[in-house]
Amino acid sequence: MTKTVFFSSLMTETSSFSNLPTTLADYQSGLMRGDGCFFDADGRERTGAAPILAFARARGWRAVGGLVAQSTVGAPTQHRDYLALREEILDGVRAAQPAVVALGLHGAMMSTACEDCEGDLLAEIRALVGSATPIVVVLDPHAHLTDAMLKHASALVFMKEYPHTDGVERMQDALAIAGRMIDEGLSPTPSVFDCRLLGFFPTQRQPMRGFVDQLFEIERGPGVVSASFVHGFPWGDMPDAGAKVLVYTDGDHDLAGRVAQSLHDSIWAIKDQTGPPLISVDEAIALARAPRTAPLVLSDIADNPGGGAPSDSTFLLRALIEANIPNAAVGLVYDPQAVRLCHQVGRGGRLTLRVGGKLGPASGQPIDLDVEVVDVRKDAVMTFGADWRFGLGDTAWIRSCGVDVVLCSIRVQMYDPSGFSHIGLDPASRAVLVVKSSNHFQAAFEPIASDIRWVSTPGAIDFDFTRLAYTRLKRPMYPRVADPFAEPS
Amino acid sequence: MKAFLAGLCHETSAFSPTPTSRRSFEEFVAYRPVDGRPSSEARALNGYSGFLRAADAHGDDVHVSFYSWAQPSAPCRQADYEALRDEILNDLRKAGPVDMVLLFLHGAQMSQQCDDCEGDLLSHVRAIVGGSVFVGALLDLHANVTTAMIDAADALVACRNYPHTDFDERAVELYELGRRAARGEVRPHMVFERLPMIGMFFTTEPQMAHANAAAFALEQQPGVLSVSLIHGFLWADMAQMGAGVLLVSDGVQPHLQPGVRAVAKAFFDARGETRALRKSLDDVLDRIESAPAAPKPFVIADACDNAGGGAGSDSTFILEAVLTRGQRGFAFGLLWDPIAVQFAQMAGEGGVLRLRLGGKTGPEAGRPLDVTARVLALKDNLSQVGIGFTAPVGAAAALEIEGNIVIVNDVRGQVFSPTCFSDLGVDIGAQRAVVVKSTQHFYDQFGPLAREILYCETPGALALDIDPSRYRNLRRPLWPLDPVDYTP
Repeated sequence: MTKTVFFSSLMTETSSFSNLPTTLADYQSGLMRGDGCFFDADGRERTGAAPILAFARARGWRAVGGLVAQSTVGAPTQHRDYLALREEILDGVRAAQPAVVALGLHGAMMSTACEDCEGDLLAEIRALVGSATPIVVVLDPHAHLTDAMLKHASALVFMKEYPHTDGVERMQDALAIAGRMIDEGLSPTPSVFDCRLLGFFPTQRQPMRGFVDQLFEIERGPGVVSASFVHGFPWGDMPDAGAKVLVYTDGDHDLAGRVAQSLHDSIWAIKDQTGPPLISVDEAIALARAPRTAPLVLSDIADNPGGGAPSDSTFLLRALIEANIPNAAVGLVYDPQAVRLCHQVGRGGRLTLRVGGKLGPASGQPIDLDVEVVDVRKDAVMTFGADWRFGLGDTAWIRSCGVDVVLCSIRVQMYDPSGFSHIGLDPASRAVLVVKSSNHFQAAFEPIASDIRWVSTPGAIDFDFTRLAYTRLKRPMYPRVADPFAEPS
Repeated sequence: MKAFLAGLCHETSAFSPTPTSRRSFEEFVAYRPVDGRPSSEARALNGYSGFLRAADAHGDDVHVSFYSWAQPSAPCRQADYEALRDEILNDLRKAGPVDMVLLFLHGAQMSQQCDDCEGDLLSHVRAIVGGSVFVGALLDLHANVTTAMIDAADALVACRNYPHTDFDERAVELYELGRRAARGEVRPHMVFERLPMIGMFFTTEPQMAHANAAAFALEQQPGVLSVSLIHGFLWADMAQMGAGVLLVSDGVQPHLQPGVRAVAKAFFDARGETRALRKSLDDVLDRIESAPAAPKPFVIADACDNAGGGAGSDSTFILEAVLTRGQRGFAFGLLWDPIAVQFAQMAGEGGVLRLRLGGKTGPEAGRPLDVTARVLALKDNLSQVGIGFTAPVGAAAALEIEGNIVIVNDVRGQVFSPTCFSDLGVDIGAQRAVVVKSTQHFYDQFGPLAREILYCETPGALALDIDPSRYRNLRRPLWPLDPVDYTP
């Protein structure tokens, strides 16, 4: 009988500091099933499917697709919806009776009743396929590595690059391990080193680039089956959160442990040099005071709706007002209630308005302002590049204490200066622009900016890991403590 | 007999955080006839229904114009008020010569440049129709009656009950009064006896019921056409704000003056009754905590956060206290929070989510509360029927929060009807307490369901302890700010 390699994927990055509900509806975009996992509507092979199809062809097996579903970052997925997704994957496994299971998982998915969805899903699959069947998994490095995941998977292979450009290569690695298990009786033996580290690790720049190169180098060395650096996802509050090193050897516990320790030592040495260059709110205000001829653009990095943030946080707005910074503009603040009231008052009207701070704790406290409604727009649109048009819903431009704020009714990040100019506010004429975006704004704002800075604001995507209010992560972690290894874990 | 009808009602709070524009009049209760003739829809509108029933009984020729109630809120944009006024005036001109003009007005409407919209509108009507045509207005008893209104109108008649369950009866009476005047059978003359007091006066309580009975008895006297107790609207910042007794007599009748003053005295003597009903939040919650179980719920009026008085309908004072004290079995409604409704819709029925709830309209709404909620039920396009109106509720969600239920909705409005709860599957009878954002109109339908009604004073927008420093045009002395007396 022809053997089967079964493929399925379930991906979401769950933020404990976002309260935007994640449900089945959020997984519908790009959802694929069956052969659709491998081929598009025109029958062309999908790029991501190549390693699985190649593995099957090389062995004369068939490749069976299950469910491929993903959602952008948000609050924990509703548990009933996670169970529905899990059940569909398990149905696929039952029907396929696979000789190899290959999965794409995120590693940082939580439901409203389960903080380790990947561990749970792998346990269920393991129960179906038995202990002898290889289950190999490619994961996002922004993951929480748990004992359940390790126990129930044959091998966990984490992407090495951030931005994550190496999913196909890592699936090749994972399936190679499955092949060796079948052909050579390879017994992947893991060793985990808990770095007790919270951090952010883009891999393009040094010294992080060198560390990734070291991972590849070690994998080419003798005895090592796979070496991964799990970045961790600091915005997921669960007991296993944090950076870890995972090394597999073929039955050699000692070697795995030694290699893992050495990789930990390498990352520990560069831990303070990996994150993005951020300035504090106070530093941002000091820069905002300096006279300039073109705008200083400040990225409100913690409140990027593209990362699951509410886009209505008030931390920078409050700082600008309290510091009395003239000629500043803030956008786009999601506040449909305030927009509605502004539209009732109309252009030129004045009112006392409670602005922002309305979605959750990550929003900060709302600010009560006496405002002038400079202008309003119905069904406004922000353009971005040649192809993109983002609906903003009704918008309002309010002014208070010298600060202009553009409020919107549809949550979307500030991609483009048209987020300001659509309502008549000329962003180039402002001394300071605060944008609720962490990355995408750069391309379109660069031409009008005299300087661009990223501000370490509090909020849903707070980069100051000493400030995050964890309740489930209890291990001592750097930088929350200077020497986490001096304390018992 | 040819009659012209129009309705423009807005209770204006000088201190409301909610602005008012033309949209406010178009989106709540609004009717615009196709050809100036009353449709079946017109006959279902509070006030119009009474006018038209009376007109039909006589076979009169009726022209109707725009009819609207806006939710109580801040003074309207001037241009928008004038546009609505002029729409009515243009319809009146188009209708040609008429025998009577009957308007349904609130009596406490302000625009940004006009403290007395009713006086303004009635004066414009008078200028068009001339001195011989009967001009009358049906008013909400929360009117601030001005000399301009009295000068321009032949007769003003206010509803008698709070809750206002009797607009329709009063509309019929006003129509009949106007018809007799138009036929020359009577010559209406108005006298307004002002009382130096401001406040809320529930006619469901014994002393106010007595004052109402005295007014009704006076109305039966020969020469008396109508007697209205005008309660005033205390959140209007204008010199003529306040209470009084409004007499419409057949010609000048000086001998009725003692009778009017006696009614005024009964009204004045009842002034503290409603105020005394207000209990502090702790007293209300203590009372409920210590009471034995019973088959009916307590009904708590969150009287200070009544959208019907211009408040935001999203204050969190009572909810926060209940959660802090760990009390359970409370059902709250209607909390205006469109974002919470949207989040609940995203999570779906049965979904669990973290929400920042309420406290979003301004300082008088208290603090927003960060809670974990389970979505019990979701509904779209709900409405409720209360005191003669069908009012939109919009999309709504029932949320369970630590053993309590909160109904959130996306159209700001006060609670009139138990359907605000039952439409979402919430059984009022099964609750320990039901908290309604309403000052008094809830009483009509919730009274019979309640084990006891508790009026709760919170620091909301409509706190009865007004701060006189916020007013620029307050005419003193006034009870309860000053020691005053009234002797007939």
